[in-house]
Amino acid sequence: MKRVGKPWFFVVALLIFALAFTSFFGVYEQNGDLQTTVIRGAKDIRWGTDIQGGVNVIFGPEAKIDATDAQIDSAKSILEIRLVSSGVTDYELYADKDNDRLLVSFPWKDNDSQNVSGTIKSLSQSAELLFIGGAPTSIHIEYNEDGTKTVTNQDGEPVDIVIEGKDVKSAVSGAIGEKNEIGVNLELTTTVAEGETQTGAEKFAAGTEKYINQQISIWMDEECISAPRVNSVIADGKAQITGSFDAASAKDLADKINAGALPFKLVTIDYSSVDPTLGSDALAAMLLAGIIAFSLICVFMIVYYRLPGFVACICLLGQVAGTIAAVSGYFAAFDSFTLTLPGIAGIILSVGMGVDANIITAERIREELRKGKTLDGAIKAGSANSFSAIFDSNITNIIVSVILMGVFGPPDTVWSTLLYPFLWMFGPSTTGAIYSFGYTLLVGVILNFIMGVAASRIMISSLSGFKILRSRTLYGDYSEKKKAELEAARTKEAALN
Amino acid sequence: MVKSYVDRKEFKFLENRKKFLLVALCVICLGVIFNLFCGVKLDIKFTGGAMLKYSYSLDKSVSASDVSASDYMKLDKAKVAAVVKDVTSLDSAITLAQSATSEGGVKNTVTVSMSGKKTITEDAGEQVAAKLTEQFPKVNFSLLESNSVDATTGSEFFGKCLVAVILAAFFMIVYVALRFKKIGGMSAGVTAIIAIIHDCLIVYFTFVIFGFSIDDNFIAVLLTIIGYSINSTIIIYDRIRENRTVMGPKASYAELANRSLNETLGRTINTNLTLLAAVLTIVIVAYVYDIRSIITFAVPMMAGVIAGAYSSMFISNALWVTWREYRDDKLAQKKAQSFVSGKKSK
Repeated sequence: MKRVGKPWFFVVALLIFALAFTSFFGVYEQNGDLQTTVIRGAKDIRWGTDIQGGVNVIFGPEAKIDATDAQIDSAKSILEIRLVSSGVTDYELYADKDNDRLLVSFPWKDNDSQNVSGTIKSLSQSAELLFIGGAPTSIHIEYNEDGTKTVTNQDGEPVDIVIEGKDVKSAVSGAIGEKNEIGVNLELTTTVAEGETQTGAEKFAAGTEKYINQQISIWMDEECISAPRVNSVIADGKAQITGSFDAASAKDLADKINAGALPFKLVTIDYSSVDPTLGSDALAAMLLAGIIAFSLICVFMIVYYRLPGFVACICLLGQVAGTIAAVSGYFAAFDSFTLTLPGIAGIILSVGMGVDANIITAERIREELRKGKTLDGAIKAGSANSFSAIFDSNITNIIVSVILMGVFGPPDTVWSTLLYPFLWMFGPSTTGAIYSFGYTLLVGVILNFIMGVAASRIMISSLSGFKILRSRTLYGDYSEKKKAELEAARTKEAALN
Repeated sequence: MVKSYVDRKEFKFLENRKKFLLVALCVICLGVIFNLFCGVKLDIKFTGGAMLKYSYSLDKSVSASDVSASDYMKLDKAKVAAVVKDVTSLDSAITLAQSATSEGGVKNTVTVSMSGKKTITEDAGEQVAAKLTEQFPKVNFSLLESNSVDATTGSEFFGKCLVAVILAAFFMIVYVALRFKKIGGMSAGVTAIIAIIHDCLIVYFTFVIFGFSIDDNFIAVLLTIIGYSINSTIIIYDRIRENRTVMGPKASYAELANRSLNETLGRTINTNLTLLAAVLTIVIVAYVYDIRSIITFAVPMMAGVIAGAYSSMFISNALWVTWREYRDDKLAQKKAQSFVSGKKSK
């Protein structure tokens, strides 16, 4: 390795400062009143529910029911619709088809009234949608062991179910027919569902024939939401419900019918909620601790290791900035990553590893100098000899982080697929918190090679080209005074022997 | 020609290795005894169960001059437990706590831990709050945290954590064994793992001694310490690998290890000092703000860093030297024996 050219120190340092500035403060384009994000800053970081406050819930079908994969899928899509329609966009939602579970986590919106039970209920609000021939005053639904259900009316007599939620393809509210009447357009399935003999459209055709000029009542769970009269036989699977609707009530009915396509009742298996104030205290504390710790480390490194220590501080800044960029997504086009409290711990850990890499190199350079190598020779040998130690220790941390990401991450990622042979017996967990730890650690280790190894070496080598920076003591060699002392001690020892 | 000024003063790590190993063993024994007497708490995240946490404050209608204001804020634990029993029909343990807020005020919290591994409904938190306000009319309650974990998901999570730790240890042994073939891969891998087990035990005992419940923070600390400890051990093994070439095959294992330990001593001390300073800062700040989730992370982490430094200096190498010497002795004995028997047969 030849000594790196003088300008390289400035190139690398400037790049690191630019990265640090943009990743901390972001870059935004102001276009009139409209602000568009070009590069995400630290304030655009998506905080986990443990910091921002929020809700984690695991839903599942009622204990007796073994849901099919397709049913879990449709339950998932319904939950998605409900989350988005209630204004939650940064949710995380995973389906665990092996264990029939749906894992949801989302942060509280700003100034949201933290109504935990209301939020959870409105999500899982179930959704046993039935179209029943006639209009009983009340119904009672009972679930049987085999997943089927018995529905009885107020007198305990079984009712005639025309179609169920799963027979409905979609319901859309809007203007209907030539008169532009407000109502709901109902579309029924035209394919035969698993375990069925008829399509939704066929069943509805038979039902409307049977109940022509009578009512078919629509029930959500045990509540009647509408009871329209059948005016004609509907054979093509496309029905319209009209009556005294306004836009809002039509939409409400359509939403309810859509939600009713959820093929079973969802119950809450686990849940946890965190108030936003609890987490923001933790965040402030972590930030304060981080700044103090970073300053302490910088002072120590510069005092003890001098020039390599100064370079180490720039590299550490780069490492922190790089991790923040990796978490926020940096460029607006990239996905951002949820940062949790353990995730912050992962950043601290990887910065610790970064300090270590710099210490190892600096120690090695100092050692080579004291052995009597020339400055250039010592820098060269120190860099080369310290690499294997840094490499091996960082690889072991990659092992840890990949395992953490595989074990505690969402399903369907590369990591969890890699580890599937070891984890097939477990379902995914909602502990995105530890996943975040693995992610920041992995990013930190990679950055360690970029910042702690590559950048630091380029900068030290480049700086050693400046005449005023060629004093050996700047790199940790003994001062002339100390050398004389050592020399004196040695001669004394030799004389004694 | 520049002269070499390398200091050849060496700390004798290996000469006293039995003493150092004994110290580690004593600490572990103490931990085991402590564990037997105090037991360990598993968090509801692992066992299943439920927890509610409220912050409470004096109602605004109470004027500051009201002499009985402080009396209103005194919550009777039995009354709170009765309210919880009324709503959830579960017995519970009540903890009251005070902490400073970032705005400089005081925050009062009440934590309700349900006994048994039962879950509660999602509206239990609000119902309990409403009933509490009936009982203590001058106090406002707001739900800070609620947790309800099903026993099966809890034990599954616990299983996953164990698998994660075992997998990590396994892959590390394999990696170390492959990379350090030159100094006896298997002995290096296994002794590194023994050092790690030591550190993990220390972390575990810290949880026991401080009464922290074993939760996902425990797993995070454990994995961090595993990473750090193996890092320290590897850096020394790396030097042993290098010095084997420098010092030649004649150098004894103890000489080799001692030289390597001394040459890396600067790194070992400085890295661990900076690390300790960083973690100590976190502990102090978290303590001032009273943030449990960070305290239960940072305090065991500090213990783990110290344990990791100790084990990489005094345990892994000591065991490695003992292992290698024992093996060489065995080999020498075998050789000697075969030589003797060879003579006889002639």
